[in-house]
Amino acid sequence: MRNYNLFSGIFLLALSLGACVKAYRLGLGSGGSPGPGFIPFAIAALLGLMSLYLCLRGVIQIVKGYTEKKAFKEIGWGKALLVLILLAGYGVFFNFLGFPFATFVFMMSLLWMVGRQRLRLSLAVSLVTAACAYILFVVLFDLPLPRGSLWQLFGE
Amino acid sequence: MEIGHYILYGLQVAVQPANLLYCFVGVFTGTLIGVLPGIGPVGTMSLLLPVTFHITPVGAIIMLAGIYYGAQYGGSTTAILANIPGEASSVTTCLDGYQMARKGRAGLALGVSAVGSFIAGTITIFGMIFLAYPLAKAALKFGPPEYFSLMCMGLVILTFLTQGSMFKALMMALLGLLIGLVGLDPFTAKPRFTFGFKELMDGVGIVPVTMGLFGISEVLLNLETKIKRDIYETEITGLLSSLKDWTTAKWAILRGTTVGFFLGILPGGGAILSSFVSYALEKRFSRHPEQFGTGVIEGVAAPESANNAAAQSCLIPLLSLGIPPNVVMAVLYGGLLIHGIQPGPFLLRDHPDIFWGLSMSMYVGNVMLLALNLPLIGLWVRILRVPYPILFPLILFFCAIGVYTVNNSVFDIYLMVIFGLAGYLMKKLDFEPAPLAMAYVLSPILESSFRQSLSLSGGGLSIFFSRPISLVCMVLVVLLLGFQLVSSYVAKWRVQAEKIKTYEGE
Repeated sequence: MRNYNLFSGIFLLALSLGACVKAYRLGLGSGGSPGPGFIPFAIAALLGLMSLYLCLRGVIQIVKGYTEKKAFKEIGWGKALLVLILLAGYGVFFNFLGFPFATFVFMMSLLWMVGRQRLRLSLAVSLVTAACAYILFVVLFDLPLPRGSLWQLFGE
Repeated sequence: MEIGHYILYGLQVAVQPANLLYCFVGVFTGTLIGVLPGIGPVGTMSLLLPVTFHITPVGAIIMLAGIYYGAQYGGSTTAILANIPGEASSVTTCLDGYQMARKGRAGLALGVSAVGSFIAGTITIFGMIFLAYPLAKAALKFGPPEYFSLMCMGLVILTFLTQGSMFKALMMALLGLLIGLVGLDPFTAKPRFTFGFKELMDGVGIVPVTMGLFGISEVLLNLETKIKRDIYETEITGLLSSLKDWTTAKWAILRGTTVGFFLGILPGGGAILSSFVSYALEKRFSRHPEQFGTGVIEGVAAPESANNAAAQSCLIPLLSLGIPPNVVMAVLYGGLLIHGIQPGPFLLRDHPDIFWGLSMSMYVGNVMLLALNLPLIGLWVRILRVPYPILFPLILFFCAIGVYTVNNSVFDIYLMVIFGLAGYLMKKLDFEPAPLAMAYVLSPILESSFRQSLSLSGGGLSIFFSRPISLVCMVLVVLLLGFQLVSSYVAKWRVQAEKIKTYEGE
């Protein structure tokens, strides 16, 4: 039987405690004129109480013999993390490499590293995607997408 | 007479060439993503939100709504031919639709599904016109306490109807409310939870939130499973088949439409719930329930009509009350707000073109879908053959570009990554993302109605219980929460009793 309650409970409890502190500092105001922190504080406090209950439920389940270790085995960290890192990397290099080249690299790495496609096919699909996207978004839609500060360095 | 005049006005708006084009783009894209498993209407609508910034608000809402109801049509094609529900609302269609295809009746299944969806759509549009108008008039009398209570009720019903634990769904709704409060306080302009990021001053954008929770997380989940695509090779003929089949289907279509129409209006309802309920009802009241799942025509006609009716009737509470009943409508709500239009009772007075234009464009869209779907089945099947390892990088790329172009900021890509991870973990840990997204959208209005109500009452909470509409909503909230609490204890008690019985038996 799956039991992830303790992990999610602890995470949400920490989050709600942090939100409570932040909201309290914003000012709670009074009943007739609630301050900017009033509603966030009330919501975070309620979430905190529910998280505490979830933690307790998790602890009780562990005491009764359900294992917690199984939780992370079922999560495909490898591919999921790789995809998320590549997406974040796309954001990091978007302005530096420029839209077309960053897109090519992003597509290439997804197809080749995550999708396990052949190198030639990955190259072809990435090239076509980058070229079509450039024509569609930059030439036709005239969207202000970065050309890349790297190429400006070379230009200068 | 007044309504007749507005219907004509709406038709005039809908058939303008630009709006016809937006309607076509919407329903075509909708059908396409309906066919493709792994990307749903929420992700696609979020993806196309930035594109709508450059077009008129009417065109934008026509296109976005087209994606949702178009997806319902598309989802059935894959369900029938490949036993893959392109959309969650097509799961029930797989049961009998695929069996019909295996028996060589794929054409009839596709025909019934398309025509049934068209009939359901048509009936719903007229139901929508006649219901939304008086509802909006009545809603003019609503004050902040009524709005607050109505939204609370909507959120609680949504958490009540979610698949998993209601307790966890409520937690997610609370988290969504907190995320919705990020940004400047509307009353004092004090920044809240911005952590020094100027990009968060306007709040967390709807596009990165929904795209991350529903688009990215779905891709991550799909990467773990192999999507089996056994496309049933068959000659698609007999779309309109015999009169006997249609007589059987006719009543199932009407019953499905009725169920879908009413479940679509209810908060928390929508296409998914209505297709399941209509299938269950159809089976329950059938003279031959044992044949369900073996390829009976009612098993396709009822859920397909229901999901289409619901996909359109859920616009009623959004447009007349300003309250999105489900997460898809929440995205549409966000889209309207971005265009500077506040959905609600004043929408009909201030922007009649949007309400009437949209209503009539849905009729036009239904005609387009009927014309599109049947002849293009070959194309949809071919698209379905594109392997997922090639498809998912494209989906991710479009998500990233869609998010970036909202504010031309890479910060939004990072936000999308965070919400993608959150959505992925939530699904793994049995938390539902829908209540979070819905609460996030409702959060700013919920807060302002609450604070306005407290100002009106001088700080007393009794204001929510002293006005009839608000009282009814609050009573319903308490009843639902109480019911859930009691039923979970009863379930636990039964399990304990079972254990004791088994122990005594041994």
